[in-house]
Amino acid sequence: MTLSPLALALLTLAIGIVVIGHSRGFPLMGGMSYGPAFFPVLIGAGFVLCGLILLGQAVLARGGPGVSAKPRGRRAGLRLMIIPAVILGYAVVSPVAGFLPTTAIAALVTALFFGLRPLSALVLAGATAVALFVLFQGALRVPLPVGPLERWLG
Amino acid sequence: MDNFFQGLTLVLQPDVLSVIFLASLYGLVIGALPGLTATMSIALLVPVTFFLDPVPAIAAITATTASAIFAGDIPGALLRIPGTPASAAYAEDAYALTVAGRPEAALGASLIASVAGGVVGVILLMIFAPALARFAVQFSSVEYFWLAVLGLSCAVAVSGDSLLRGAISLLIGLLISTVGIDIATGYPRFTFGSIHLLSGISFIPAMIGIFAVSQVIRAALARPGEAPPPPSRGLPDLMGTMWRALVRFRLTILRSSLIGNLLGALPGAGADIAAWVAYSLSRLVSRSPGTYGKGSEEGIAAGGAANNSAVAGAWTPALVLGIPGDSITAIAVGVMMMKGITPGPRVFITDGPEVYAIFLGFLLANLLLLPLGFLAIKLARHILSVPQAVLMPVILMFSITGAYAVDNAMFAIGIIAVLGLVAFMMEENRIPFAPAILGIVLGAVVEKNFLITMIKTQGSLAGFFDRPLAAVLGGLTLVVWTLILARSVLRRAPASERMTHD
Repeated sequence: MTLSPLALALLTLAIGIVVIGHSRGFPLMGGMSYGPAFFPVLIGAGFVLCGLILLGQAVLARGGPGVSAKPRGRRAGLRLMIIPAVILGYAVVSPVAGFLPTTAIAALVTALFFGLRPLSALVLAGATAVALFVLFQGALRVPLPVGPLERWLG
Repeated sequence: MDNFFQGLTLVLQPDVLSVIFLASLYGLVIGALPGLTATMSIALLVPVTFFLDPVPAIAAITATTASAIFAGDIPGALLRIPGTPASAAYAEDAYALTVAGRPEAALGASLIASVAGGVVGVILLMIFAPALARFAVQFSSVEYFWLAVLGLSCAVAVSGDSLLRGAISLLIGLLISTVGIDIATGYPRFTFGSIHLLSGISFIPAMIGIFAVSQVIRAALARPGEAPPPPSRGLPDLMGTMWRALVRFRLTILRSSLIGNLLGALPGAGADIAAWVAYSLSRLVSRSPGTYGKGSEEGIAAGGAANNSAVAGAWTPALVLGIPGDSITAIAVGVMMMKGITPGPRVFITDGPEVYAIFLGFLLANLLLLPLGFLAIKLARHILSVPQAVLMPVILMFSITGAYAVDNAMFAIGIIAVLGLVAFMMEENRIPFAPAILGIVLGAVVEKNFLITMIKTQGSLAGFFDRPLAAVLGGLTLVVWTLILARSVLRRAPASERMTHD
């Protein structure tokens, strides 16, 4: 997912402009010209400056040998999103299903995706869920998401 | 001395000793696995330390760091893949020795140098930290402002091949640090109406996202290719090799430990750079500079001692000034604050026994590295043969559970997903992490001390140079900036040499 120099420059520039625009709504401190907006605006200006330099470099480098993005093969976008999807799926499912089943399923999906054989993946997923449960809930006494299984375990 | 003995009592508790032992084992395994860095091992460890008492919590961090930095040498020597960036300086030499059929020479020199470097480093920390603290008591908000700015500037200056990318990384970190209620007026900044963001982006989930989740995403995108199997030769006479290396290279080890400690204490430098500098310097003064890069045990000893000593050196500014020198101590400062130990010049007065307990635990961890490192070298083949398909799901689930455990909120899980993606994109576009981490930690320090100073001087910028100490620090910062700008103008075209190092 390497961005082209131009795209990186525009993204940096855009971040700076959005940050400055958003910070302009912050109130001032009584009787001072420095307030909550001062540092964010400075940071935004930094982004704008870096973006402009990157833009200049990108324009100057045009015609030269372009840096092409690393070929990642087809469906790279899909592969990129699989881990964030597993994490967000976990956040949605675990409050309902509880810690042990959600962790086991998420670990199973990830292990299968990384090419582990189904039986090994199943064993790994179960062991990971139980080990984390014992460590966090058992040894460290951290409350983990509770579902039917956890309620039954007490 | 009172603090020393009270600290000793705190360390010699069964729970602290077992935490140090377990953390050392954990650090050895993570450090030895290629691609999993020492910083990542700390980020994953923090949720566990969160629920421990202050002394075992910090001891776990120091023990893990010490062993992970050494263990990075193992795959460097056996596979030519440094396990942590700090081992990169001499991986070539170590691998050359393995190819020549003498892996025990490479690993023996590296282990004994790591132990010696670590021990010297902690002793220097115990000498310098109280001395610096006595001096730093006179610092006011202006000095802290300049120290933080200096740290951030150095982080950018040493961040790699592109200063611009280092600066972008810093800005990303600073931007993250501004999220939440503003310290001066209590105005919620960049919270977008979410109550979860009012207290800012939680530090531990952020570290887990940046250092652990990003690596899992990276692995998911890479075509599954297994690492080459390590050579299946035994390691005869490892113990003898180690002692001979210690005697032969004692001066190199001592010199490199001193340099490493100093560089580690400088803001922004850290173990990676310490290893490079000590290695290069050792080659300069060596009687056999020709062997460097082709299997020099001396070079391995120099780099191995320097990076372990730097790990201890980085604690000096972190503990005494609250200004961390590298990503690991940045995380450690965060943990100390959560545990009620506020880093600063007064830390020896407010938490004297605890601080000495941290020192002694650190020393113990370095000594423990001798037998445990020995064991890790012997078992290296098994550690290195754990496939990614097993490792990645475990790391991912540990990351999710750890983030949830610390915040007790699903929102933290969202943070690791988002920052994992951001960190992955940064890495893809060659934007380094270290300036961003220091930005996250020091952003609030810079802003708070700036505003306090402005209130004190009633808005006059001249106040930033009024006090002699402040003027020196401010001047130093300006010098660093000038150097940064001069360097970027002078070396417009070739950005080759350093790039290969990073």
